[in-house]
Amino acid sequence: MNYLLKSNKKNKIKKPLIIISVIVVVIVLLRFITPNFLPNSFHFIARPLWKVEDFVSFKFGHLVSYFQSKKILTDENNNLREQISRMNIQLLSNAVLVKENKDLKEAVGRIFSKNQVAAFVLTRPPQSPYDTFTLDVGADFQIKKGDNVVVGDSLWIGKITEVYSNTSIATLLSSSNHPLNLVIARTGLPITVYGQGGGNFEAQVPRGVVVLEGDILVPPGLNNLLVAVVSSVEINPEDSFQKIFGKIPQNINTIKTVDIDRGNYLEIDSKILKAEDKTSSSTNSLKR
Amino acid sequence: MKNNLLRIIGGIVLFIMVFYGPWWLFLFSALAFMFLFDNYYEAIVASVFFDALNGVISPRFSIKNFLFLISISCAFVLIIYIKRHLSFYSD
Repeated sequence: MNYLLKSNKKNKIKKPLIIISVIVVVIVLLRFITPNFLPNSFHFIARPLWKVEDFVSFKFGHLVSYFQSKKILTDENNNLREQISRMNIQLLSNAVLVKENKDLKEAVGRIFSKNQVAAFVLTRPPQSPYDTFTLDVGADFQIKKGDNVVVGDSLWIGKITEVYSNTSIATLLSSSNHPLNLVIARTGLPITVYGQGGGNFEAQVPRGVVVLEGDILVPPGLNNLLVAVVSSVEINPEDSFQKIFGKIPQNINTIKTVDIDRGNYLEIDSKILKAEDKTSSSTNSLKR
Repeated sequence: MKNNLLRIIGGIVLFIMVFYGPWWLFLFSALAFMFLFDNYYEAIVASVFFDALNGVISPRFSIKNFLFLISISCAFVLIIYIKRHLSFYSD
């Protein structure tokens, strides 16, 4: 008597399906019961590995230049020298403006002292798909959620969104569909821009408003920060609005260090306070 | 034996991708290894790592918290189903 062989193909798909469902349910539950447990422990494991990567790229990154031709290197060197000399001139004029800005703020009694922490970038896009940076400082440096992340002295690129024991995650302002209220520095026009990922922004303003390529977008208020530069303006004759495309003026894939601004502390000039006290006391005495 | 060795090497490559590679290369290699090896659970574990390292925790349920876990799990089931219907993989 012949028997047909029983197919175990159904079991073949059933078993992995059950295992995967269990894993997914456990992970989702774990994330809700103790949201920080998995990220904290994985960041603890990953931090030394990312540090090794930084060390290796720092030590051996220059090895590439050994395999490049001399002519390319000379050309690149000349270009860089030219750029440096141009930037030096710009830097000089910037220094004058910074001094003038500080003097003006002092005159109105508003001096800001910065409370910043330098941090190394451990991972950056395109490694992370959500437009986030992993930084090598966390709760150990009193970093808090909402702290601003700045490159150089004035380029505001993101905010701290997660803090672990010795790492933190910064989400870029350009993360997808993230709305941001900014001002066009040249005209003072307030606009709402939306993040498009990868350091790009998009906004819509009425067609009558003059926006030029190269316009600087800054956050409103008294600060020395800039967020993006208008890279192009798209005008459709049938549309009553024009589209503005902005870009962070630095390649986010190559940023190695950032500063975390733990909050600006407003220092009211003591001289002005005294002067205000005097005027208020004199007006009070006059009233009497 | 050779297959096991390849599987272990694949696992190491996948975990290197989690820490150092761009997200799209990680996703591509996970899919490739799931096609190459039977029941490649390493990809699921790696995706848990990836989400925990790069994801941002939100107070509400958001698919963004488990984007890689869910997409790789779906791909895992789909690949088993496809392999079942391919004569190349039939036992």
